[in-house]
Amino acid sequence: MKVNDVQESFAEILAHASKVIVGQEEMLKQMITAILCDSNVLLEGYPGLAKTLSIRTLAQLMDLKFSRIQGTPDLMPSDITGTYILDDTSGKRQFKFQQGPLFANIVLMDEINRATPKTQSALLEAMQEKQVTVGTKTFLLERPFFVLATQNPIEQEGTYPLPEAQSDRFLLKIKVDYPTIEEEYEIVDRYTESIQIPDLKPLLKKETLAAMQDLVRKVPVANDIKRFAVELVNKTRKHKELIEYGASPRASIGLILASKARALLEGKDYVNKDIIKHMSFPILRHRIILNFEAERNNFNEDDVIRYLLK
Amino acid sequence: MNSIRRALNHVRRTLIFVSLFHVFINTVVLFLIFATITVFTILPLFYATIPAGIYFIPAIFITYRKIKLKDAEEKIPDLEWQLRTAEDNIMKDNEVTQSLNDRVTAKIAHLRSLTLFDGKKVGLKFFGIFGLALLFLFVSSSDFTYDTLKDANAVTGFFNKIDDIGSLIKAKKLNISDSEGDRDIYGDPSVAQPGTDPLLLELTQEQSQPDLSKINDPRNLEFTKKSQAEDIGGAIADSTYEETIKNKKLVKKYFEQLAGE
Repeated sequence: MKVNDVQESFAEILAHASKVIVGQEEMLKQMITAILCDSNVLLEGYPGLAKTLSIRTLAQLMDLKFSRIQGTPDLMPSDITGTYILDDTSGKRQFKFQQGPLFANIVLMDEINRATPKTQSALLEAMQEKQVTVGTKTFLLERPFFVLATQNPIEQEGTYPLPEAQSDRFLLKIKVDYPTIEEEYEIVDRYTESIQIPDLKPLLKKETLAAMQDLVRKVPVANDIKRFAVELVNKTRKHKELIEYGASPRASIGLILASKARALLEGKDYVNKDIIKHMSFPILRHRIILNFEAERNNFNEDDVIRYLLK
Repeated sequence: MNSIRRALNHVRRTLIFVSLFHVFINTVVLFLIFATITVFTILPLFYATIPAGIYFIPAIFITYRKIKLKDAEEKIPDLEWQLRTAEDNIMKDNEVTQSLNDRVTAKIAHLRSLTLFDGKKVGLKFFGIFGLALLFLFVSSSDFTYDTLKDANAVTGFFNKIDDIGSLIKAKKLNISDSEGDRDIYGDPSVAQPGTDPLLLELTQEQSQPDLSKINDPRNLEFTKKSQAEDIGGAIADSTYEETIKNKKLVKKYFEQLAGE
């Protein structure tokens, strides 16, 4: 596998995805970046911004098994991991493990903050360990395993916001913006004339994706770039005037890894500073907690990261 | 791996050449400046090599130590971050690093020293060298020296004025060290030396007002008729003319003969 193969493959995937999704190219690229890093994504955006459609489309194009879980307060861990059921089809009663929706390659956890902390923990364990433990037995999850959890920034009543320690497990937090006027015009045009979603054929095999994931880790990074990334993460801990809690070393690892994947996605066999700067937003925005002073000045996480990058 | 190593060494050598060339040009500029000054001040030309040498030797070492691949990347944006990445990962051997190394090696193959030169900067320095060389030739061929300027003093009085100002400052400066042996030429140092105690001056309104009791009454002045000066008497020969000359007659006769009478 060559560097250009990765770029060409994903350029084709993006081109096909654009038949279904209008705009949102950056969101798709960041999702692919996370998939290439074999990691997970937290998606934040208002309803109706094609979050579910995007991930379903990517799963289709990459020939990956897709499942969707709707986060609700009564969702139990066994509802997502699976449970033992009594099976008597063969005339002999025995407990058989019924796999839950986590046994897929791409799992979309819609409105993760509506699920109880117990269920969230079960999901986060699966994300981290790539395995599920039910009762006394541990089941390995099929690779690649990618969780995409969504959060709605409005309607926070009756939700269980993800603790910082758990949101840190997500490699990226992608903010989904509204489409532009032209894009929205095209959305209206496309989805009011036909209800048929274009048939998408898989363009990438699982094995190829796994080889690409291996390739990401091989992308060389200059020492100056590593130093820049680590210093940036370190700054989040030092600027107490704006940030109450800074990012952990996991953010430094994530920043370099995500930048490697992004470089490969752009057909580059090296990482430059622009890529680091670009990736610092989705990497750091859910890993820093702003203090009262920053909030009083109406700064959000992206404003603070922009300030740190100056 | 060897090809990228060779390629990076080639870049480093080119950078060294370019940097040393800049140091050399700067040394020439410095030498010409000081050479002009030495000719102007009628000092041996050898003195001009001292500041040039003081700059040249440390500059070579500092420049050599400061050379980084980043400098080449700044000149060739197409290689930005790639040289450093290739250098830092020279020991790694995988398909991505190999792809980077191959591309960097191919790009470096076309690298020439001229690419790394800052044309504007070098042009400006050459222009400076040309100007300084002309100035040096003018000063050395026209005997235009500091003394020439001093001779022009007669016309302009410039140096006189400077000397006057200088001596004025010197005179006011009460320099205690100006002494002849134990004796100070400006007098007793303890007297001449200004004290450090503050001098308190007070001006009160009462003191500055006139004392009306001390004012005399007006008196009438009498004017005499004579306004001319009185006769001061007849002229009297000055005693210095009353010389006693021995053999007065003989001397008189001698002078008369000289006068041809």
